[in-house]
Amino acid sequence: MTVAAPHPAASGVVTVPALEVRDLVVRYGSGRKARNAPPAVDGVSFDIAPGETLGLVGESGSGKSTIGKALLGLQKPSAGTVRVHGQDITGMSLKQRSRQVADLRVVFQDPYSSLNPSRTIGQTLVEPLRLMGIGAAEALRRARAGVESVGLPGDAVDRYPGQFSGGQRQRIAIARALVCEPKVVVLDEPVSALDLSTQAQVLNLLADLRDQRGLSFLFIAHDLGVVRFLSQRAVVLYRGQVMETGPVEAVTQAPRHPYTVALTSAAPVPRPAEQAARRAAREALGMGTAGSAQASATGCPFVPRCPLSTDVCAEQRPPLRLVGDTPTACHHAERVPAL
Amino acid sequence: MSVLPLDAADDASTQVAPPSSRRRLLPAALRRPGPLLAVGWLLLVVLLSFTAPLWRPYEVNDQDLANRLSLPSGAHWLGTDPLGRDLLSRIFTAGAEPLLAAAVTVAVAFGIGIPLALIAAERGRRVEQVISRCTEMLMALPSTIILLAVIGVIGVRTYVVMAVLGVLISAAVYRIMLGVAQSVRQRLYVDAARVNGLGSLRVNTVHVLPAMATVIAVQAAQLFGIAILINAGLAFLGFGPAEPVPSWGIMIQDASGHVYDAPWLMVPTGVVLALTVVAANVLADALAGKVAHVTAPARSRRPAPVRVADAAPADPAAVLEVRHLTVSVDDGPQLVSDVSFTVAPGRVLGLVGESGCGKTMTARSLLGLLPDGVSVSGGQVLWQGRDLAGLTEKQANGVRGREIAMISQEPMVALDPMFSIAYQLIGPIRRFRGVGRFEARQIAAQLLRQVGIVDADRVLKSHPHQLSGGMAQRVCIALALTGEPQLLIADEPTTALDVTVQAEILSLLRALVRDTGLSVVVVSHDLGVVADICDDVVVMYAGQVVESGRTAPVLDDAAHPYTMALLGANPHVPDGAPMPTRLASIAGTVPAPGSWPTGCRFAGRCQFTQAECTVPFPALPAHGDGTVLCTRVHEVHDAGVSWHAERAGAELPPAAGARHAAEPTPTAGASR
Repeated sequence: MTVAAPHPAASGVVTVPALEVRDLVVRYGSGRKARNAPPAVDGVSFDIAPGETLGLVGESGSGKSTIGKALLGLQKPSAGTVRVHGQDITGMSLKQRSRQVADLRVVFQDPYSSLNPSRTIGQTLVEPLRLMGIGAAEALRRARAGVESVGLPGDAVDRYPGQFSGGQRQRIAIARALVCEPKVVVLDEPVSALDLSTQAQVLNLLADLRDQRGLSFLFIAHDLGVVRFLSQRAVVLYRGQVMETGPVEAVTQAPRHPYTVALTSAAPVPRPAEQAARRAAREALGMGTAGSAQASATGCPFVPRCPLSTDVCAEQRPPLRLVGDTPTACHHAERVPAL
Repeated sequence: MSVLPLDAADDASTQVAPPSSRRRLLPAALRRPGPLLAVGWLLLVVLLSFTAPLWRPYEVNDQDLANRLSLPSGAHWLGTDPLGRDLLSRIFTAGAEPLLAAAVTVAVAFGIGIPLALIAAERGRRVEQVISRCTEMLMALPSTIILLAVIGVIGVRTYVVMAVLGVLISAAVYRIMLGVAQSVRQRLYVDAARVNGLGSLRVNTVHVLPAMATVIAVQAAQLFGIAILINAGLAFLGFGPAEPVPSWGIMIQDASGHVYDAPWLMVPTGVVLALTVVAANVLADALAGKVAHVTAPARSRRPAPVRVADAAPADPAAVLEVRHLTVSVDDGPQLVSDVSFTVAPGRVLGLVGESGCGKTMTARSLLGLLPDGVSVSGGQVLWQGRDLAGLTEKQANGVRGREIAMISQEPMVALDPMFSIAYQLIGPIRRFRGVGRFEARQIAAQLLRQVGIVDADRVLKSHPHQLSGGMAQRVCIALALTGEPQLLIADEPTTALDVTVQAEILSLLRALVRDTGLSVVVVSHDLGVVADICDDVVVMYAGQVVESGRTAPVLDDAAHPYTMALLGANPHVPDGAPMPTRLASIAGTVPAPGSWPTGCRFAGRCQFTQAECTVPFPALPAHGDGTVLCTRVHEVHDAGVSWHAERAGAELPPAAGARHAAEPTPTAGASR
């Protein structure tokens, strides 16, 4: 299941993608039982061009965080390749990665457990710099500049995580990811644990950093609204498989896969009349939620919840094919706009 | 340390913490009399034992035959033994060996147990299983017999014997440390350090071990006490230093032969030994209780303060009427100030705001479920003619579950993982409805079908971990319905769920309201959820109601700048509208309770603040029967402005060269 060809950069010249993922498969556990269970990530491919943000959307259990872990080397992929600027890092140990590719970093979801409570912000930020062989004084200077670049006072480096609020901690986590000047940052649900107003602050900060530094983000989220805000393209995952991918406006505004329709129609909007209409439309659609029934191993994983499913869906796994602008894995994608 | 609970303590009170309050001479756990005495005693014993040759009044074998078995006297402060030897000199001369030997045991046990635990936690399942099986074999060995056998082979070599004891105990240490190490390794900062390329040794020493320090200290102190006892026990049995070298075990054995004719002989040695062991355990307890003691002053449910009787009769159209409710930390700042609202039958009211705005405190005070150290300090919660704020714990129990029920944010935490769903439903059904077991089971199945669970029988038999999050929340709603309540309080009922599941749970709640006439209070930070399900909405900021009214006018035509800002921060723009390049956001954080400004509490973060906002002003009527707490509301409304997004780049200093430029926005006092 191969999707996007290398993404043309703004200049029109075909460049090497910042991140290239091909046919990634991740299985948890070992032994015969694990081999027979469906994999957590099942043949996922995508590219991220330099300076581009790709949103990875899905419900819990869709495998989106597992993809992030596999890219970072925290979870061993069972098959497939991961390339950063053309360099294959799939099988590299974490130590090798830090020596050869210092340009893949991460921001985690939970701002409370992602910072060591017994170390100062300065110690936390200096750690990766020192590993890159940067002197202590220079590392501290960069750490200070790092916290200032995310809108915190420079003297925050002398304080402990306990003295900061959730939003401020998430800024610190972003500073830690950026202090090594990486090219690609995996953002693993960086705003899901935050209040709406704090979420807006952090999203604006990420947008600023993306624009100013030309960073590539893999933005993992479960909310299509925030994905649409920050990303240029989106990948919609269900049970470890790509359902739909394409420009974010097309995916969120004119979805071609029934599952994307389910996701967009379920997100509540803060306008009572519009929300009432959306709710009525969603209830008329009659899509169930995950876990209601097992999908067949050979067919489309969305069959048990899909209002459009027919016999062919249960028998044949639909390949990704171009429907309009967006590669979509659905036998009946043409009927989706009528939903 | 504050006792501010939940969201208040979490989020709001962090920005003013002084930077240097961490490192004190003594950790907080030891700054109480018991542990302080224990530490003092241990230090004294160590000091006296190791310096005994320098200060002891007599040599250990000096015999004063005229004063055998004497009581304490000027010449012999602690008395003498059957050969007239000075007890004080002998006790502390003997002390060095058990102290050192116990330290050897502790060092060996932890020196083996901790590295094994760290390796097992790091290398994953297979390595962990091999190590665990080996330690299980070690634990199966009879340690007393092995110790005696070792002594039989190598003779009485105390330190070697105690080291062997350490090896035997290391298996138990490993078991405890493994669990701790595994849970620490799941913290994200460990993953972050690994992504940064930190080597395995440094990950463990810098990130994992410090987080285990408290447990290690507790276990070590406890093991130290045990090892001293074992050492004395071995000496008592004759496997210690031989006479005339003094040892605590031999001295106790000696004393036990003179229990009738010279009972004092037992006292000095016994007391020193017992105090040392007790001191080690007190120290362990203090370290273990570190967290608990800081946050838990004794529960003092203060008698409700005398209230001025409110002349106004209860609103006949309301099931619940909250009047001027004020909730405070006991002898501390207010968390909720003067909150009023009513809930009509069959209607859904939303309490909305950021973390630290007091919405959860307000909801919990309706049920009398405020955390320790927090209580209602003013106002009334009128429920069917009674004031819930003044009820005793027992009276409140009669209301909870039967008349007012609650569902919480984390359905998995609300269900007991040990028991089946059937068990957890049948208990309350029998209690609330007074029916037999068989009938209760039928009601349970019926309740599950009512909350949209198709295969009720299978779910009844399952345990919480076998359910998905959405299914668990449905079960929690069924559990809340067991007492046939008239009011349901739902604290962030869908925040932990996927959007598709959230939509279904909201539809379920709406169906329940429609079919049963239930009233609901929903606490949420998501205005989308409020728009979806609430008839009325109360917007809270820093413990106050800033805007209230029917949901449609409040959200469609927000009057208060805070509500406008919350709406602007929501990335779900109308269908067909373009996505803004930056979202509206509110600089800074909610001020902590106790540091709320006079006048408008939102003034420090508001885009429309002027001088008049810093003096107190009353709430104004708005949206029909609602209110708005903004003195400039008409000016802002007439000007037709709305909360605008920060201009692009305002979050950041303009250019790399000008990093130290002044803050670009003039928001007074709000740190980012």
